[in-house]
Amino acid sequence: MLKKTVLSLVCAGALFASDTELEQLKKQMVQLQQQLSEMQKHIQTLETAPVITVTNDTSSDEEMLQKMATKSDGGAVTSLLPDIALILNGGYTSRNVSNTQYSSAVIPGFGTMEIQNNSKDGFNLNYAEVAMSSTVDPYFDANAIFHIHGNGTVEVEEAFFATRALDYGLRFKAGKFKSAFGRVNEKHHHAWNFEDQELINNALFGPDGLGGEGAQLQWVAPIPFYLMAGFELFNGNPNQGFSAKESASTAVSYVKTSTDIGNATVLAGLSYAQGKSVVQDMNGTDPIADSFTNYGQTRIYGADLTVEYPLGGYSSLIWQNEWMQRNKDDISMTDKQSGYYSELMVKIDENWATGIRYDDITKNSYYDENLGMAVNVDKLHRASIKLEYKPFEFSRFRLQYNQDQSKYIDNQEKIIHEVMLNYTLELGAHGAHAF
Amino acid sequence: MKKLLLPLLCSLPLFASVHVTAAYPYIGELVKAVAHDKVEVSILASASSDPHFVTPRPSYIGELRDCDLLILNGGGLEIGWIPPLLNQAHNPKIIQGAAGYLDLSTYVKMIDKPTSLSRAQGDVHAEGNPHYSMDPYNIAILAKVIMLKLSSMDPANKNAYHANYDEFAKHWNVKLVQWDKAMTPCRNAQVIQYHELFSYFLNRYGIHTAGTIEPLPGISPSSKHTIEIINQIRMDKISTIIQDDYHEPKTAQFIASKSGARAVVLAHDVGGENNTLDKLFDSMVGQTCKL
Repeated sequence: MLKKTVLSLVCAGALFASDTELEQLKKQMVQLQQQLSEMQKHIQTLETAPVITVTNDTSSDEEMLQKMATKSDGGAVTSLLPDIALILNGGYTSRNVSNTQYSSAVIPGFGTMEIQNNSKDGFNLNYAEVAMSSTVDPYFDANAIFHIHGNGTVEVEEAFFATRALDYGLRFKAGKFKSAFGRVNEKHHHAWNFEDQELINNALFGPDGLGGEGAQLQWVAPIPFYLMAGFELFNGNPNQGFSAKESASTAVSYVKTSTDIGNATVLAGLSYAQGKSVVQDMNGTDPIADSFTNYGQTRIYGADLTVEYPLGGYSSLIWQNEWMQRNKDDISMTDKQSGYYSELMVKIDENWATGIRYDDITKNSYYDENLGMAVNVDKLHRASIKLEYKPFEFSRFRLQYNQDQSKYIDNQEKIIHEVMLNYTLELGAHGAHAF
Repeated sequence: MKKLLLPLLCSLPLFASVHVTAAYPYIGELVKAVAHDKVEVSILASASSDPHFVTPRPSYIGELRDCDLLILNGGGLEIGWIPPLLNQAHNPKIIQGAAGYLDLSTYVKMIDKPTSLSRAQGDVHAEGNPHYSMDPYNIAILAKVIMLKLSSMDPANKNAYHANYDEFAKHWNVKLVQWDKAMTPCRNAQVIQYHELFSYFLNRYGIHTAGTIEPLPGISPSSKHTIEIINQIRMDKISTIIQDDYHEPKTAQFIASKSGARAVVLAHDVGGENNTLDKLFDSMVGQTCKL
């Protein structure tokens, strides 16, 4: 009996004891599991966490210095080929005058204009531009830009070299190039704000602008703000309103300055060009000088002002203006012709832009050979509006409307309405444009 | 007369023997950290604009005309605005290949180098993703490169540059530990970016970029691609959309409202509220890894 009681007590005790032990064990198990999972977590973080050292910094000071000394900075020089770009421009044009009429249109006092782009009603391939540029050696850069027109003619737009490493803020350039006279003259067609040339530029210098075979020296002043002065010499070119009599008789000089006012960038310039003009060519032999040709001077004055105001993000407002006057010695008088344009453009975002432009020839007194007298035809102006869409940095579609009251057809003033839808595509390595 | 001239001359910053121009604000901050007042530094681009499309203001030409050292981010980031400025500045000291032309990208490891180059892929850089300064670990390397460059150009102040760099590196290492710790919980998370601007930062902390709002680099969002992104966010339960502060925020907000993800705007350079490198990365870390 006692045995049984003791036994049962022991058993009960044992049972009781095992119960508490079990619970303890269970607790320990849970604790262990917790510890284990914590350790696992820890291992995981250790495995994936970055090593606290500057991991990319494998090179020593000496190696870095050596890298600097080798002057290899500038990234990957993958080939010695020049940068080559192809720029395509074309579109669809619609006018209220026939192609023949349009090609015979004149701006009174400035003669017949040569039309390079969008000359036909209907489709036009204006040009395929091939641009190549490269650093020649430590001393020179060189550029060449060719226009292959839709009709198959090839034109050397520019081909020049420029110095890289002159001291005293100087740069020398020679070859065939566009003059930096004024604001837009130097820019290529695909960088223009509108599809066609500004009226006063077209009237004075023709479609290619002022420039040609010549030389240029530019100087940037060693002062805390931007001040640049330049001097250029070109062969006289009759297409640009000068006489070709003397080989290098057209001289251009200009000064440009810029400052930032708050967020706005202001760029202003003054320009001057001087060359020979044919006063009277009795034999019609210019450029061969003979005793029957009288020469005079052509002087052109220019002033320009551009303001760009950023509106945040990709949006900005650009206001660009340019004025020019030409005083050209003519038979028994000096022709005085001046005009201006004013453009207001809005970049809406990365893709969209719009703008308006007003061109005006404000003074136009000249000697009319047919009438044999001085005349004054100064109510010549043009209004334009554009809308641009850029799907990407290198493609652009532009719709533009012009109401052109600057042309005479068959000696009659004719208001020309024109609508142009153009594409411009840039392929390959094309250098960025200046401001 | 001499007595009059002397104080005038002394007031000029004659002690600043090196004039440095930094393409972006963060580079300017690094120069200041390493050089303190030993150099004169001017900064071209602002933090609020797209670093790819900076307006090449003619006033920058005035800065470049007389500087001794031009420090670039490189990797093709400045291709749209620095070359025409350099061309107009006529300063042989800072042209490519000269001692005063420092391209920082050559000292760091670039990611996302394309295996084939075609603009059908959008605005891809042959050199790889140029936004390497978004990795705080790269910042320390860049500081060192600048320290070595300044030391070689201005040996008289070599000791000062070294001491300043050591101080900066010490401080930066403390910050790196802090940021590592703060970013640990977000490891293996997935995010959507607008442009692959923060890839180096995200890669550093093990965060995966599941997609971009722009269909291809440099291409504006399309409705088709936006819907794809919304579906992707819903399916993969992506919680965060990272947006820069210069692209339009509407698309990211639209995607956020349709998908339930959180859209955050991150600064990418020093400026405004984030007027130091510490604050810039503090805000990047704080905004990205919110739990």
